[in-house]
Amino acid sequence: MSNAENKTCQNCEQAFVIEPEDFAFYKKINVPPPSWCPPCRSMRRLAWREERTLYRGVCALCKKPTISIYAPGGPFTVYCRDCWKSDVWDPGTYGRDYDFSRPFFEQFRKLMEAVPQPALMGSLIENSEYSHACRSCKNCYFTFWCYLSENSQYSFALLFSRDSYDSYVTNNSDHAYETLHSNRLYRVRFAYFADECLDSSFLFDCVGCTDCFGCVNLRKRKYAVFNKRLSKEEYAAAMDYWDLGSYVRLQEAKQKFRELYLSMPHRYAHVVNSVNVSGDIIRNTKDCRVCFSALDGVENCAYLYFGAINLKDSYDVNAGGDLCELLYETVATTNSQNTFWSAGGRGMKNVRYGNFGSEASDLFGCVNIKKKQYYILNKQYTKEEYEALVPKIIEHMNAMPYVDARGRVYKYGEFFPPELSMFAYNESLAATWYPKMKDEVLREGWRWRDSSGRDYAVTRRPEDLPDHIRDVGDEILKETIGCAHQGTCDEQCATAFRLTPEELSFYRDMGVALPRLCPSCRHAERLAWRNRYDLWRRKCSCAGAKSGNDVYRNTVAHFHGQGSCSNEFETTFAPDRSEIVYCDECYKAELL
Amino acid sequence: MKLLDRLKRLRYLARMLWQAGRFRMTIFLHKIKR
Repeated sequence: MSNAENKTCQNCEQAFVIEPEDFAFYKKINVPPPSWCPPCRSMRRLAWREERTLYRGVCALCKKPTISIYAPGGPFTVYCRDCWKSDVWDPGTYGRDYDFSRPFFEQFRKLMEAVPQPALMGSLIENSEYSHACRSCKNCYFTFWCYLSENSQYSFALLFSRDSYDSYVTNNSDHAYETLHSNRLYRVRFAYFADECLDSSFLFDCVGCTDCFGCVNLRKRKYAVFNKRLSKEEYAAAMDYWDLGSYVRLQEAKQKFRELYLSMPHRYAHVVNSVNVSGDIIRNTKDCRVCFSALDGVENCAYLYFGAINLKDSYDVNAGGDLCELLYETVATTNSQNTFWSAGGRGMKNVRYGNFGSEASDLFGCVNIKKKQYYILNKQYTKEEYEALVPKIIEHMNAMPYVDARGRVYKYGEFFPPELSMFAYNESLAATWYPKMKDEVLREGWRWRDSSGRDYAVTRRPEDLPDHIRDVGDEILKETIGCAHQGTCDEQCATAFRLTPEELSFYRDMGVALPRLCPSCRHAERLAWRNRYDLWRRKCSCAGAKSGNDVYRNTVAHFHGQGSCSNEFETTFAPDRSEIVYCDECYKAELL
Repeated sequence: MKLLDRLKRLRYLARMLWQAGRFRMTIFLHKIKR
């Protein structure tokens, strides 16, 4: 096994280390070691998947209006969901010979522009024209990457959920509002990292709680307000005060909840039922390094950003899983094996450099190929021709690499350059996790899309909305409500929004005040409750009888006695953050 | 993929379905109690 090697990232020019086990993996799958550091590699992959920006467009085949993830006027041929899935066109007809006089990545981009792209992805979708990359969903609006869910709006990655609004990675839930990384919720408003909770509001890291309000780190509790146990009658009286139907009271509750959150210790990472792992939000996982959101059966992986259900022996994966093995530098690739440098795709095998595609194998540099084998740049070859040509292309990629405007070199083994992505940087997932300003993006030589002129006028300012939801009449559905941020934030602010009839009845049913922010700003505010994809080496904040910052007093004696805890860990809480971060032992002693 | 992996995947999906079903029952009982 090779020794660890220090390298300088081609992109950010910071030093990074390639560990011996990384070298072993690269040798096993026969790829050169990376020249970009892990965060830059993740950013580069995410630049190849769209965020939550939708446009109005026209299907290039049936000429019907359609909602699309592609901005109008771009170089791509866009088909609506039905046309793209139909058999009336064949991506193989756009195939071309490999041109040994031009770099591979340039040829790939030209191919992407020629082959029709799906306006929206997804299957088995009913009455959900504004939902993208969803499967088996019904009556959803503005939902993304949701599965087996219904009657939900403005949500990302719902699973088995219904009547859930403004939720992010929420499973098995019913009547959930403003939730993040939660499971099994019923009539819950504002919950972050909560599990099996009912009729509650403002929860953080709570499990098995019913009738709780503004609670942090509680387990199996009933009738609690801001972590204080109350009788049933006292709780009812407190709820009369904490009426979230009032916007003023909602803001007061948010403020008080945030103060409680900052005064309580937090575990260094959300790790459940896992061994030998580093990262955050990890469940049923083993032997993984630098993994974020790794759930249910993830094994022997590293540099993973959202992977679930049997993902094995893979490196550098963003959003992958559901029976995957040997993935390397992929984004949104599921149910695939032995697939490297792929953006999108399902059921792929032995693929190198792919974009979308399904149930295909032995592809090199292909776009949207379905159920085929032995294709290079969408052109069919025999097995023998394929096996002879691929090594020549690899050699050519190394001899004539793609060089970008800033001089970064893309040989065989590098993921696609961000500037060749179908999406501008600020339209892609990269902007969410690795935010950059416009001038910075342009300096890198990547693309930026300025927001097009809005053709609507705000008819109701947010400050003019009724304070209480009971005072809101149905006429609000005709109004265009201004976002309180007024486009001044860096969160892709839509500047205004309208309410759907289902949304209004949901707010009334759940007893929550009308939002004053547009869906994009609400999404950004929700995401702020989870940490970024960076790991920091830190010491436990427990200083014996109290926390190091003197805010929290311990309730029991810890294993380290009156002295400071010497445990160190890798956490996503940056050293300058004001949260109290405890090691596993101190956290368990104090709170479980 | 090996048969064992496929079985593991089924186990995770079954667990998820079981959790969803069990939670539906929790909600049902919760509603009755109210």
